[in-house]
Amino acid sequence: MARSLKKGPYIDEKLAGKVDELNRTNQKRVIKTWARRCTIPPDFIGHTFAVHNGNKFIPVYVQENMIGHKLGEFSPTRIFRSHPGGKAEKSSR
Amino acid sequence: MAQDLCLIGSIVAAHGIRGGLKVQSFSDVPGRFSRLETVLLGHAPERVRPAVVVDAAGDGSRVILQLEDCDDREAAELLVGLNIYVEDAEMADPPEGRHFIHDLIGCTVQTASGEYRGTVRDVMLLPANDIYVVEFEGREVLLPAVPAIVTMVNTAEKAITVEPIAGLFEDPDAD
Repeated sequence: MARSLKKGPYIDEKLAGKVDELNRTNQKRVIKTWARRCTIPPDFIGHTFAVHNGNKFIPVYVQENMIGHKLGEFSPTRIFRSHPGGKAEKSSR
Repeated sequence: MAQDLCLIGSIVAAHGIRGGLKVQSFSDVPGRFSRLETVLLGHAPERVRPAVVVDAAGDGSRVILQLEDCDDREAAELLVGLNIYVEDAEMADPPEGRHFIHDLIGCTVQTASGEYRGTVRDVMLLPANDIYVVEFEGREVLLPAVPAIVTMVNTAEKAITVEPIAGLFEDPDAD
């Protein structure tokens, strides 16, 4: 069931505060967080979050198309080895 | 010969009754299998045998391949589990703006000022962005492969230039 529109998106206050501080001082720094349930607002664009996946912190660089998603969606908790290793025609950005 | 081969897929199952092969593609290159004339089949690059491709259907991660001398289901089932290789000379170029993972592994990571920041050990393909797993000062550092952070990749010289924003190379478990 979807979250009530009346409440608005859930945004972690501490995390939003840290991003506001960085935006105010025009700095870039990796923000470590466990707030996987935090919705990504437009203010987060261009910042890098180290999102905990239960084991380690996965760096997530927030881009425009991630707005409205949760941080946890980009830090998978299960490892899927999607490339075979060795010499293969598998590419990365 | 082993070092001159590149893995492009693996046969996962037989398809139909006319010797079709269901192939898991490891290649990102569009239309990779439709352009093939011959492939090399084997469990490892050291022991391969050539096979002529008659037809290839489908694109993306699953492809149906038809090989010469494989015209019934029993013959196809004997090939399940084999890897499909091509010779280095037949390798396609990576898509625009992308790099092959085996070219990235072993690259030296440095800042624009030439400060050493480790060596790429692996690449993780994650939903937000790909991650370069870098070994730096005896520990693992995860680098998001986005233009804002990875500013230059030169696979020919095995060098990657990064913009080291604060906290990126620090141990996240330190505090």
